[in-house]
Amino acid sequence: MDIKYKPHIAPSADRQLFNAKFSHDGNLLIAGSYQGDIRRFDLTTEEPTELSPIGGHHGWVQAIAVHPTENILISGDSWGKLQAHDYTQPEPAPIWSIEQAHDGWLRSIAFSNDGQWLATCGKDQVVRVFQTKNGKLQHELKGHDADVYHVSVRPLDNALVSADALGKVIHWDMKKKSPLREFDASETFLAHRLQDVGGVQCMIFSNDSGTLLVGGTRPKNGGTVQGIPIAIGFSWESTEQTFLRELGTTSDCYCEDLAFHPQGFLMAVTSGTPGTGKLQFIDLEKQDSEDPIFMLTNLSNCHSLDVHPDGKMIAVTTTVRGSNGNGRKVDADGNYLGNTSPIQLLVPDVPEQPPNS
Amino acid sequence: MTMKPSTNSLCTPDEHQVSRRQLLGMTAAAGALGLGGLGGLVNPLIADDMKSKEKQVLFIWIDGGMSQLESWDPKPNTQFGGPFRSIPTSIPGIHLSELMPRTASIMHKLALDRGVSTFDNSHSAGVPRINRGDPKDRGVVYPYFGSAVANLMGPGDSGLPPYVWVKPGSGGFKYQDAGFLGPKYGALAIGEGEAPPNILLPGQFDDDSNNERNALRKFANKQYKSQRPPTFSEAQDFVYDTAQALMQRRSLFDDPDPADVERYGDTPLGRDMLIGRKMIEAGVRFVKVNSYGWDTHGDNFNGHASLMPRFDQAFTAVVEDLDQRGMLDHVLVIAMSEFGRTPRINGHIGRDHWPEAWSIAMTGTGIKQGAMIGETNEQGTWVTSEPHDIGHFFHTWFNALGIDSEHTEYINDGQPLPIANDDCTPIRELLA
Repeated sequence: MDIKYKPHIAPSADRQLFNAKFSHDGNLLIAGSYQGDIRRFDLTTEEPTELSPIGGHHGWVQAIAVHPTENILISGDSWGKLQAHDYTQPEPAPIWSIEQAHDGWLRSIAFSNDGQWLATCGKDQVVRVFQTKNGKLQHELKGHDADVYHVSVRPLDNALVSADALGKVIHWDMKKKSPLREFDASETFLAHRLQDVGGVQCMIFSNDSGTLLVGGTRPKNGGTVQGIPIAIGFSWESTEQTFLRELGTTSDCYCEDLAFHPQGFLMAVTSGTPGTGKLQFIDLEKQDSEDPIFMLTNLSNCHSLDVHPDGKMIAVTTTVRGSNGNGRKVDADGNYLGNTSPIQLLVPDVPEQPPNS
Repeated sequence: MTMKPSTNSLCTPDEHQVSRRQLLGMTAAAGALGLGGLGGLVNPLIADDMKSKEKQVLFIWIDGGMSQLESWDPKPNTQFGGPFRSIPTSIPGIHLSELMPRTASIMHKLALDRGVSTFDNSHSAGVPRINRGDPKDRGVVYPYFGSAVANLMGPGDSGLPPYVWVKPGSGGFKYQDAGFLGPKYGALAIGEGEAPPNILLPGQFDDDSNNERNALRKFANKQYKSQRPPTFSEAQDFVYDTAQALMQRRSLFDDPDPADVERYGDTPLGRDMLIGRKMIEAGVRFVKVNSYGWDTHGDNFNGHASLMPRFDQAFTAVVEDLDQRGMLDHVLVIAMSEFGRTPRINGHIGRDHWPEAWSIAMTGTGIKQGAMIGETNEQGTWVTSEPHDIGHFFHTWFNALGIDSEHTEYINDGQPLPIANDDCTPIRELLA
């Protein structure tokens, strides 16, 4: 498979951003910020244009999910607030809002396949399921012993899984509101000195729903966390580990996000020491090969990944280069500046055809 | 003997002369009494003066740099504020990070300075400079605070070494902290909560045979000392005496009470803080409890989400225990790092080193409980109140211990040396 991508354009806001996602029609790019709002970029203009932010949040808006068919955005913040908005409105007002959907940091949101319900998780170690149309709580699922970092829904049958900071992945029986099975991703966790390091950073199901893939790191130490980024595959049927791929060296650290390309291969992004970031394409059919079928290594701290509905453009949320440094770094006017998060929009790198060919 | 402080915050040359004369005289007297002979250091009579006050120090060292924004000085919902909420404390209007609920409940027992501004943003320079109080360069290596207190205040009546360092990793005798004071004022390090090796008398010896061995040793040492300067044998005697004292206090290393473990946390810091409390209760003059792993250049927020609650639990437990035992009347408790962490969040979702604006907390003897001083701006980037460097804190802590920091000097081979940076003064708002 010969496929290459190249950076095309990189819209950025005046704040750092999380998890840029395309709207279901591909016209907007949406990302939560590090300061209590959601940033939107119009992709229908010649250059991406930033629209007015969606407010009402506090702290970090790390968790967002775009409805599969409607113009609904669900967002959750690090103070536990959950909101629904019509993201196409010029100045969106919330459709509904829950101030304390979780006690503290809300980490991840996942829609059911038909978008009728959504699952959330967070620092309070609980997974909750809400109705999309009105935000009514449907289920409260308890069984984790640590912060729950990620939720995901299986495409084939809406099975709900959640993963935590200790590397435990739970498949929930939603009728009984109890764990049905567990997957062991504890390889992603290390207790180092006083610190809990790692945990599952992301999850995705294979296109046939037969494999659950989780991403994280194999931690080496806490503090300035280092570790080898890994993607682990589990058989959905047996819960056994069937796949393990190292995605870099210890300085590459975390596998931050996973997605499947419409052509069937797995995509992964990593973020490590400041300035270190990779996008790589992995052919799961070639498990005997450790080499990715394509890799971009010149991206800086890749934190999320999404595929445009056209199946071509890829959005990778990064951090501006030179983001780190001890002590004061001020501009010419003495202002202390924060970092930003260029959202790298990547397009297929196809050789230009000569005229009249 | 206590010298009276001048009303002027800066010393005058006359005061230095008097001070030097007094101190040299004190040293001579101390030597005559068999208390000195330490190269002219001033400590013996000050130590006598301090003895009655039974002042002690519990120094909690958070190595690597605790983030002030995820602990003492939260700036929620601002550009650099991070994900966490702030919570009210027992002092109206004062908030801490949500990661410190237990500390928040005892805030009225603490003093906090949020206006700390120091200079070194590297560990290699920052750790020793902070621990030595950033003295002016006078061509000597100054002692760490623990060694300084050990020298100035002496070991007390416990028979235990004056400076004990409870830490993860290796133990042993860490002479490097003592600087020009000499190895005797170094730290006895207790590593991994383990008793120093060989403090149990070997099984083949009973008390009588052990006394006979000691008599022989003393005889041999007397012969050795008679032909050499006393400094040769001092450090050796000190280490031996320390070992003997620890052999008599083996219970300090007994398994802890499970209820204490539960309150302090079943973590390395909980374990070490509990040992630290035992050492303070046993009368050790200066106890440093060390936590490593706080240099969160990467994954700062998940890191602090697990680090802070463990600090919060152990710190609160020890302060409450000392308070309930009435020991805060004579124990100074300090919690600090070598610097804070940058407001800016880097691409590894970490914070880097930030000496420009951070916080130090303290309580106990000589400290005004509930004093909340120092301010940073809305973004947490700069100190907006009068900035306080580490020299100010050394003056403050010495004064809290009853030592007039502006007029007490070391005498190092005849050279008078201020015990704290002479450009700085005590922070009066923190003193009771």
